[in-house]
Amino acid sequence: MTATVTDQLTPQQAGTRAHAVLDEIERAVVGKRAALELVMLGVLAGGHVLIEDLPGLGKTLLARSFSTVLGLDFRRIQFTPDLLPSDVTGAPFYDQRTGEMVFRPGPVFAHLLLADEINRTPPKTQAALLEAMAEAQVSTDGVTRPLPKPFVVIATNNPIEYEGTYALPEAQLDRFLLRVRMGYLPVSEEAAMLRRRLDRDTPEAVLNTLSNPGEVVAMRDALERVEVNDDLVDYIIALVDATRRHAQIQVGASPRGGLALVQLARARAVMAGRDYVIPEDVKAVALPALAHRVTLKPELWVRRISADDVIAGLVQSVPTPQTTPVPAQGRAQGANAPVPNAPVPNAPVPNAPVPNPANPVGA
Amino acid sequence: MARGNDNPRLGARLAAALGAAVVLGMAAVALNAARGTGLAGDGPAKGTWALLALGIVVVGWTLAIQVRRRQDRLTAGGTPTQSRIASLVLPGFILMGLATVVGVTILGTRSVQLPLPQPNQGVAVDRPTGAGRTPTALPSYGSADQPSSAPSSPPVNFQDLLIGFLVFLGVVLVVLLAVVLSRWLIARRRAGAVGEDAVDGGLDEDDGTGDALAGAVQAGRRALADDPDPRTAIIACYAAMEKSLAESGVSRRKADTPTELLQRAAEAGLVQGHAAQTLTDLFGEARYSTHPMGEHQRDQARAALESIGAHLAAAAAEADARFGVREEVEI
Repeated sequence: MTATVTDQLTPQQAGTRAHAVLDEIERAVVGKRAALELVMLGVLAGGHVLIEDLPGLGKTLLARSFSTVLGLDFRRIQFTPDLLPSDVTGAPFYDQRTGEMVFRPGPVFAHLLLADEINRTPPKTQAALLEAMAEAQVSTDGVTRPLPKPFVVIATNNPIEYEGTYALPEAQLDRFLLRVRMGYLPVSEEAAMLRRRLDRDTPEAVLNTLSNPGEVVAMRDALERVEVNDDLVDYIIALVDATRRHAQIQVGASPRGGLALVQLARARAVMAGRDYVIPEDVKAVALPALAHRVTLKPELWVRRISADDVIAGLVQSVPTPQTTPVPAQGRAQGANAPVPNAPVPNAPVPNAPVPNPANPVGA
Repeated sequence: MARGNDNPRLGARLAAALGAAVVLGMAAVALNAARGTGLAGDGPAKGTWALLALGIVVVGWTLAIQVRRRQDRLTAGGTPTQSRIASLVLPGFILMGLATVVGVTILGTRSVQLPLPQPNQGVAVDRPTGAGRTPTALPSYGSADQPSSAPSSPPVNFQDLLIGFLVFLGVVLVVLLAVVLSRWLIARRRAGAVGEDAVDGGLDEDDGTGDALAGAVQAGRRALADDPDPRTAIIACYAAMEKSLAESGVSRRKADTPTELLQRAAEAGLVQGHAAQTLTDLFGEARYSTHPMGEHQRDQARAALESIGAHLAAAAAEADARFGVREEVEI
């Protein structure tokens, strides 16, 4: 894999490179291909990733491996209760030689920021990340400083140790493009992981750098050449709307959730080497993109029902686009009409063939 | 023909409605039985127990329906274990309501005065020696109450109560058996819809299935041959495959993606190899992209459809051989 800066990549090229990156990372993070792909989707879609799971499952290793293989500048913040916002964003200090206040950039000025155990710091410090995550810039002392491109926050969150933690506010949760759960390895793969550790001399596998920031930006730009059919836009809207109407959900997904679904679905299409999104893409990313954006009704904790369960059920109930395209006059009635099984050989296709595939519909 | 997926919960709801009717009737029988046993005492629910029982049944039934709807929404895509647990909610509600009704009937109307033995029996238990105890305590309690309560409250007939209780238990067992049987049948239908049995059973039950398969594949062929636009032709061809799968027992659910439908069809043994995957991929490109679709893609779709049709015909022929369907099927 060459690490040259490429101005423009086709979705197929971007997908090939993304898979090469994942293959390399998988040398260090064993048996977590699904989680790795989700994180890669987040990186490609230009968002931030929240990794939530128990300690010792390789969350930090995963973030470091991504930075190494993607060739990104890596910083890590260990969030603690006494961490201050200026410890994250940076602060001006007095330079005695020049007699001026000089801004010293904080760790947020990096390509890839690992916010380890983000729920261990008070909301004030968590909020210091808000602007950085949403706008990719930091404003201090009336001066706005842009962050390097690409800028990715991979935050880890320990869901079991609640003592001395501060739950992430909904506003900040919403800024994470997706939430990933790692989960335990299957027994056979855990044995393989131990075997790999015994077979090598170093504590961790040494990974090769296969990419660079410019290429990551080019891979992101390739998403803009992935088209999204109107019926799939309707499907995404139906999914988001269903979270707002669900009986067990108090607060549904925000419009940002719909945008996240679109971008993640496009990223998944890129990973599959396609320049068009199919319903499988949307369905596959709905759970990681929406589950952390909804607030369940408080009584549900008694029944041990999680947002993941609700969203999973919801995804299985919202109708996918019909097999045959809806005629133009029928689109106004919504995409939730019953799905006919009978073929309609001469049904009109709303999207006429366009010679130039690099003209995305949903861009 | 196994088509349980089209309305999978209809059977469960009918069974639940039937069970509820039986339970209501049973509750009435139990209440009548209780009336005959002379339990109408001066308890807190005296005179209003029937109203109370009716209220409990109505409220319980309403709650059960609400919970059932929520569970339907919640477990639409749940695991089999979750579905099984969810399916127990309604019978659980019914049983709890029933237990409450019976409890209120028997205990809520009961007099606070305990049914006492006859005074003579009380005398009989006195020790002849009379040492250490006051022999007059029990008889005096019985003799003081008995004259006042005897005219208004006849002694409890435990034999009638026992018979009523046994009848009640029997009816509960019958209802439980009916519920379990109906759920087993539904589960069997659902499993059959995606299993090998569905194909065989469907072909065995419906002699016209083979014709439907042949018709669907023919429709796909016609679409591929006649339609000038390869994109529309490929979509129609996929729709033909979808219909042929539906006729074979694996119909598309409303929230299914093409891949999920293909997976279920593969699990049912209806499709094999790469043909169906190829056709599904071509369909995805034709349906959701604006790429120009060429003749070679039409040819790919045609080849895939032929392969699928051949496999379905072989499956139908195998089913014919197994179940002795005489009709010739040519796909």
